[in-house]
Amino acid sequence: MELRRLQLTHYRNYPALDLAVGAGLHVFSGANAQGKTNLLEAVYLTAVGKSPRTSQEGELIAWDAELARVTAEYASARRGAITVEVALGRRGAGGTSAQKRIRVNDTARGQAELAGVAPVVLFLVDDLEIIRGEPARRRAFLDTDLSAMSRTYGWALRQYTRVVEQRNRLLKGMRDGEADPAELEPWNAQLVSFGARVLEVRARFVADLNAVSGETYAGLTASAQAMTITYRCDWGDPEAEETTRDAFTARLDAAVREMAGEELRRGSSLVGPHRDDLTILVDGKDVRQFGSQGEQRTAALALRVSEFSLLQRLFAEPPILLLDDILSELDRTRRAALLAHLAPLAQVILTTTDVDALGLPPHTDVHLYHVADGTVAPLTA
Amino acid sequence: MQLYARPLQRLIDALERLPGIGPKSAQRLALHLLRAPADKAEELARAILDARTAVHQCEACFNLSETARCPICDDSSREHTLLTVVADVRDLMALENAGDYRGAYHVLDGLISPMDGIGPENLHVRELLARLEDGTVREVVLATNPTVEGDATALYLARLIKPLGITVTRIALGLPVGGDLDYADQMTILRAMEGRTTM
Repeated sequence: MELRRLQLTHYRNYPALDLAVGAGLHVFSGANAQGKTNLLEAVYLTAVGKSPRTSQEGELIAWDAELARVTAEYASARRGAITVEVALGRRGAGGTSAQKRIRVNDTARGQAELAGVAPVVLFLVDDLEIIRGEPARRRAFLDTDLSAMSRTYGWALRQYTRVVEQRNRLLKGMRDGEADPAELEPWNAQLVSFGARVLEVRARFVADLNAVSGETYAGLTASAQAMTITYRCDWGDPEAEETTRDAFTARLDAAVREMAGEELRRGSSLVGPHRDDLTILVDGKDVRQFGSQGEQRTAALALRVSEFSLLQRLFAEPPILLLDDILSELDRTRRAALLAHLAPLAQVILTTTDVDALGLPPHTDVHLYHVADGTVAPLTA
Repeated sequence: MQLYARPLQRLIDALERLPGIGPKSAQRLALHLLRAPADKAEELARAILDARTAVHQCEACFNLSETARCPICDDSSREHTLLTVVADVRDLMALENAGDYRGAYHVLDGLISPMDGIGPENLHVRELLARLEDGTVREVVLATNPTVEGDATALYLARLIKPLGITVTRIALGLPVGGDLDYADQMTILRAMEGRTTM
């Protein structure tokens, strides 16, 4: 997959931009707050249908405009030319929400239908929080990835989330004596059926991730250290190992029954994939608790690179790599190792404040650009 | 700033509160009513008032009706052994417009949704169960939407009705008739595969 051309109109701090891009490694440099990350965000928006930074889509429209437009032309080795256009119209004067219209090859599409149209992997400085942060961050990592790969996963997850919200409300009502316990059964049945769908896909994804992550981690550190990822459910039979939908259905069903009293006391759903977590081990120790800062950062990178490998296998072509200022966080050796590892694999688009410190790999197809105040100028390498 | 004459502003505000009508449409409709012959406006006003006073909910099925019992409930040529449960009068109309269904209906007036404070006691569930008592109905078709709330309502009702010895069915989910498998969305295909039937 390759980005060939990116056009922006009234997008954030870009009044107008028309940028031709091709294969190779593209480096966008410039001082802070000039619009480097906005470029990656715009590409991500056409690939995934939403911004990785904000849910207030009105923020994507230039402050002095009512309408923003992002058009990305992609070239796929398997599917030919693909044009994705995202238009955003401000709702109400000065509003932070926007109406969004997505067109793929001139046909209107919903956000969920973008899954798999233009696969990308985005690396953020904030990825470190996937390793260090709360379990919700790790579930969000799984859910964002899986929703981008499969429309049916996104659908099952939305249904499941809705069931949990409704069920929590009902449990609180029951605790306060406002609702009848007989009303719970329909929500239990749906929690189990949608929950099992979500669990089945997550478990398969983690198994796939695991198959590539060990090698990836070792490759990034030039060491023999291995990384393993396990999916952890703290509810139901702890001995259960089967990961089929039927097995998860049985396990959820039993756990819902077993926890009924406690759920009622707490007024909250305590069983199901919204409670789960990932454990990431490096050389057998939990990197969240016992890893050094360097190990945690490398683990976060290894997760993204593993995600790249999986997407490449799923779509039978390499996804585009978007790296937002992540290199400054690494020492010079790790930086060079990462770039040397990634550059031959795919089209890479990255931002940095300091080109000279990058340690660009030799003999690669490198394109440099300077970003200043919403304009982009090519530099000669 | 007073943009419109006060009575006109009142009319625009009233129209704007209607579903599907924005500020611009409200303004257009209001100006149209002012410019149209006086009897047109009176006709509309009377039609609204008449409909409000003359139309009630059917005492049996909660369809909208001019009479105490609606024409469907009173029609002895229909099969009153078959009862279809819908969330809303609009769903009943959709089924009636399809033309082929000859059974009776029961309108719930909503779906179970704890987040909106709607439980079974806020719907016409008690009345449904009362209708089933005399043994006339032999099959209940649950025709609520295939959403989380529609499915929850159907599951809840099925649990109540099955012990009465009445057959409970759920409308099928799947491919649109005349549609191409090729073009159906993935969730529809998924549910259609799961709901496949033996031939």
